[in-house]
Amino acid sequence: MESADAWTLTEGLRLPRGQGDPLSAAIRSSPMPMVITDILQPDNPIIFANDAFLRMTGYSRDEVTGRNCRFLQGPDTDPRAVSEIRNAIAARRDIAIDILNYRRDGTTFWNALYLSPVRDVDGGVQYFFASQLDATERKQHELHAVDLQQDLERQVAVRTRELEEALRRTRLLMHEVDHRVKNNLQMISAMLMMQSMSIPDDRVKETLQEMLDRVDAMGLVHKRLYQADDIGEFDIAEFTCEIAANLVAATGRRDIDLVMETEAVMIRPNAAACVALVINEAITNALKHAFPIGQQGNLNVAVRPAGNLCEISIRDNGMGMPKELPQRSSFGRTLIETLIVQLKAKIEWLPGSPGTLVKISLPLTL
Amino acid sequence: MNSEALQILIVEDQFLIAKQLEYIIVSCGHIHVGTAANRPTASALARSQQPDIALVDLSLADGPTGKDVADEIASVSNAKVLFLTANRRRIYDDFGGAIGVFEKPFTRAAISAVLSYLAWRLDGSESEPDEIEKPEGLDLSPAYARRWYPEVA
Repeated sequence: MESADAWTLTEGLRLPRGQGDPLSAAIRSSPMPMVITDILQPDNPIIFANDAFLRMTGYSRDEVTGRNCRFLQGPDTDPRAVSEIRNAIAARRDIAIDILNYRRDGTTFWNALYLSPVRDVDGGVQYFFASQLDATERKQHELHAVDLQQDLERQVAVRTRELEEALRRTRLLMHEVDHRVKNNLQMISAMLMMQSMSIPDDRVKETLQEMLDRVDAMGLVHKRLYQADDIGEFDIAEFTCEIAANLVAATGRRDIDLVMETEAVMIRPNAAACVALVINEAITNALKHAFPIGQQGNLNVAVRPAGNLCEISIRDNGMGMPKELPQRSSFGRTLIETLIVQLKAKIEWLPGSPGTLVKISLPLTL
Repeated sequence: MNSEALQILIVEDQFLIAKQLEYIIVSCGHIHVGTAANRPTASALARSQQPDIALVDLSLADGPTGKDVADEIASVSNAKVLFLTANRRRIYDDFGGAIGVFEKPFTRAAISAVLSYLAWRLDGSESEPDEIEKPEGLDLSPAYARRWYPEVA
């Protein structure tokens, strides 16, 4: 039995036009374009081309026999492909490559070229065997796919730039609005402060001062809302610490000890202003009524999560609740009641021993 | 009041806010040396009044020149600048030589605390008055944070 590659070694190849050889007959009549070149001759000329090759390229047998295959190349042939083929031939190894070739009439086609050396008994290479396939359609699909992808990438890049620009403008706008709101809150605060200072009537002065505290509390909320990394949440504990410290400091008294016990509790930003105003009222109330001048006092403020609730307690060790409801003014009372209803929260005023304990339970799923 | 009274220059183009600041400063026992709404006035006042502290808004009547104003104040006086702005983000990390920033809106209590703190920090005498905690809302520049809180850095 001959081995499978016996034909590559056959003496018959030295007789390229061996008419009786069934192998050469098969190659001659194959619908696949094929050529054989002789690299032992100068410039590796074609010594055989089958009919399919001639049909594909449009040349006659006489025009191709004895010529190097490079006549198939043209201006748009990729020189890198040409040099890869040249290197493969020089190294006597096979290569499969797509290369743009030109027909006799100047039209182009994509040639899926497969080139392999043909060895003789001693292992030396005398011939190269080349099979070709018109791969124009496949190649166009590939190139089209690449075009499509590049086009898509360009569109994505353009859209990304547009979105980034839109985001930048939105941020800028938000900062601008934020900036104006803060300045306006400051101006409201300024007017209230200045008017309260110009009014001789102590009760009116006090009323204006109370309003100033409320505006300041809202200013603090606004500031904290936009300082946060995530503007989707608002830490009521941090806010409570700050406002309590502010209100105690604003009394100018050194004999009131403020003790804070807080755990972070996040609430939704749209509830922040209401919660802040309630806390402001409750703390202000304690500071106003619990500790007469000269009496040292302790104020304990706690904020902690409790299941679905946030519990805020404000405990003083002062005078305890007066007979009437411990509100600074009827407006202060209305304010707290209104906000508590809106927040679906609960507020209790409990007698401490001594002093008063205010407990606010705020549902966290507002 | 602990420590000494500070001489304070206000650089702010919103006159109501400037007026409120002035009230707060005076009521805290510090000295208001003047108010400027723009860069040339701020520079002139800093030169003539030699304040200890300049409270500078970032956006002024002649545009967002607060930072330039701060540089100019530093070049004509020994005043330390504290930015007081509703636009905290405009500073990013570039404080120039400023102490830091306090974001608007402010309250009387907050400004009072900040001024007491600065008076204590800038008090040259080593008489060791009680340490004052850094007030809530006062953000120091990286340089001042390193200088005043080296153990944290």
